[in-house]
Amino acid sequence: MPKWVMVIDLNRCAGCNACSIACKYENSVPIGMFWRRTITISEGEYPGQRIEIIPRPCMMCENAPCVSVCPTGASYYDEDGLVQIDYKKCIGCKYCIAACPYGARQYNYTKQEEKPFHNPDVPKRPKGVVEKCTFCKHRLKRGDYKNTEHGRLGRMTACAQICPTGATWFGDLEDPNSQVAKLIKSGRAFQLLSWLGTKPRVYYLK
Amino acid sequence: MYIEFPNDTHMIWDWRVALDQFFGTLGIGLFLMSLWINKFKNTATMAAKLAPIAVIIGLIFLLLEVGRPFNSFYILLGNPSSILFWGFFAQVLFIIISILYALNLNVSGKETLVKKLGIAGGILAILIGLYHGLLLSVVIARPVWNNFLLPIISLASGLIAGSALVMYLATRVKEETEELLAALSSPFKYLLIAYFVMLIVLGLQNISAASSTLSIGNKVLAGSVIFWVGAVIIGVIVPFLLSLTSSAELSKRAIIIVILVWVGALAYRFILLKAGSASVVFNLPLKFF
Repeated sequence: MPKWVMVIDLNRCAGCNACSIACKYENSVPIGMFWRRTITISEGEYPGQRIEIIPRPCMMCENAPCVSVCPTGASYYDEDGLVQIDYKKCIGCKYCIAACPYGARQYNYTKQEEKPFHNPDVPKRPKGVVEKCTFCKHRLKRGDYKNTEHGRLGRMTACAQICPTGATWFGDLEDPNSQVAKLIKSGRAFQLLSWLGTKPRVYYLK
Repeated sequence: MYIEFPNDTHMIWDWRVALDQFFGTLGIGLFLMSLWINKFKNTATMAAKLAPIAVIIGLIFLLLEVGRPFNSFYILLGNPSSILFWGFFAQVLFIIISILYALNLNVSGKETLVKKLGIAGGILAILIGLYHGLLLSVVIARPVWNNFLLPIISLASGLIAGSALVMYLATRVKEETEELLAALSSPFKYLLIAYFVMLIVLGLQNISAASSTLSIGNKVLAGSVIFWVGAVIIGVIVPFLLSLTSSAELSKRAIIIVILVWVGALAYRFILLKAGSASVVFNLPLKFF
């Protein structure tokens, strides 16, 4: 079984927000929401100030707090172990938003008819549910990556595909020849807030 | 030295959840008080009748907060690992038991049933009181909420709100007023003192955390007028000072004490939700990553 992971090279990321926009377009994310947000951190004072840009998709935690707190079971692990949301079951209690340490979940205040465009490949979300990044599950399901080179798989998600600096990679960690496996073994990889024990599937490169 | 995080000031749960928690704990406080003062039949009956009503009002506010309240039946097929799942069931069960308890309280020949319902309802009431705090304290993502004190404070807050109302109800039943107020006066003061100590510890924990980790949420609570003036001074210190009087004078002040205690309890609930909303660990400085 593949273990889908994402690798984001912080040295390459220019903070252009192209990934946020591509994700928004691909997944028909409503106005005012971003499934993948680019967060800017600043430390220190001028002239010693330091800026760090961290693209933040859903971390697809293997031990996801959002799944364990969901009262209806709407948040679940799919057949690939990725955290997904069953929009029929979601009652919009927002407990998962509270529980997510990464702030990856957002509440949908928008009625479906207010959206100017909807990608037919992604499910429609009613007003009053919680949404988040799916690792472009519809592309994965469609098999966009099959019968292609590893490089194609590495750029399968909308965010990875659009990234002009090639900072985001997607792939199967179980495949030792995959780009993500090589990058994670490089010694530069770390996970956000790993001390919380969430086991995120998103790795960052220092 | 903070991450720009657009949800910093956005409350995940707003005043409706504060009211849900307030009425939920008020209901269990009333039920526990009605068990405790059961020899004062009229006041105990009034408290027992109000208990399920308060919990129902709380649940209505909760349903007003959720995005799709009509889908709430999915909780019935839900996720047993969620504290919210168990809390929902506990509250529904408590409502049923407390209604049966109130209906049978003064019916002759039903004493055994009332006793069993009282024990079951009492246990559930304590669990629900703790649950309203546990709901927040299990959230590891938010340092302000991830605190072992919250369940105990939640239960204490409910007991104080309930006992304050029972003191007022006692003034409406003339034959029980004096004796009941005399019986309630001391425990009420001890409860207020315990609640005060817990709030101060919570405040100091947040002041300490705010200076060491620069967490925004800790700063929100530690520097909040709503917390220090609303929850601590108006909700605890002033009612305590007002309760330092004779039973006769206390009956005149009961309504003021109820209002102050309720305002304080609501202020506590509200500021806790607000501070927690701002305190996601992702807001911590870089060195914590």
